[in-house]
Amino acid sequence: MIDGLIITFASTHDAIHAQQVLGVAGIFFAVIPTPVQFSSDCGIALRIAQEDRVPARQLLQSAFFHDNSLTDG
Amino acid sequence: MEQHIDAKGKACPIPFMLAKKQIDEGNEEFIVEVDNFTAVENLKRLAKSQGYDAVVRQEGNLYQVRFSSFQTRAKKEDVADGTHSISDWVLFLGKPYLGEGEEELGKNLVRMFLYTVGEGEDLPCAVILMNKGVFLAVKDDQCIANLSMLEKKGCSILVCGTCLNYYHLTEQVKVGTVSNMYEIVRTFEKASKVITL
Repeated sequence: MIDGLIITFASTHDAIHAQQVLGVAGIFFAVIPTPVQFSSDCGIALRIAQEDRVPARQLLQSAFFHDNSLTDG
Repeated sequence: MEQHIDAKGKACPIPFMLAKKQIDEGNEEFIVEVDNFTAVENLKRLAKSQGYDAVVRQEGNLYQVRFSSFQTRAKKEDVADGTHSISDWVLFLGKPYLGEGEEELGKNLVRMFLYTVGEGEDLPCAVILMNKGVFLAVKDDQCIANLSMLEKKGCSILVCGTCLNYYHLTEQVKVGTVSNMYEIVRTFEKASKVITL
């Protein structure tokens, strides 16, 4: 059982970049292997606390996308 | 009457070796007298690893560590909570990243590795950190958290004291116990397998 929100990535470099973005913003994350039940091209996932969901989403959205295409669910 | 071993004024690891000699000879109750706290900590760990109780009595700068194997034999068995068990394999980390190549990737891999080991059912009896591997117990918050989880589940985290001293990190170690070459080699010798990252 994993608590919190799991973020998966399309590439390892994205996962590492996301760590830098979250780290600068002071959002705590744990590096975990992508859970096997999730399909992802990248083996690195990040786990963040539920309460950081909104700021993390905004930060990653502006870091990776210029539109509103980031989805969660 | 139990035997008194006078190890006062003896530097690490002499008190450890004197106590180990008693254990190897089958002595079930004895007292080791030392005059420094590091020796007390080493003796307590030795007692635990060998199935002995260690009771410490302090008088000023002098410590008496009483070893006794009578109570602990029976309860040594099982720290398992039903979801995991401790096995006699050992994990060795001699650097703060996994494999060779980009360190940034290697650091992520070692965090995930320790997390996954901690989530598993078959946990190592010890994780040994040497050379720059000791950084994992000092500077990397996520590895510290993962190592703490392993320690809570009954795994010994042994951090090389010589290495901490070399990197000037002795006072900053956040998880595990400061160990020495004797204990580390004994741990390897008793292991059914050692995985080196």
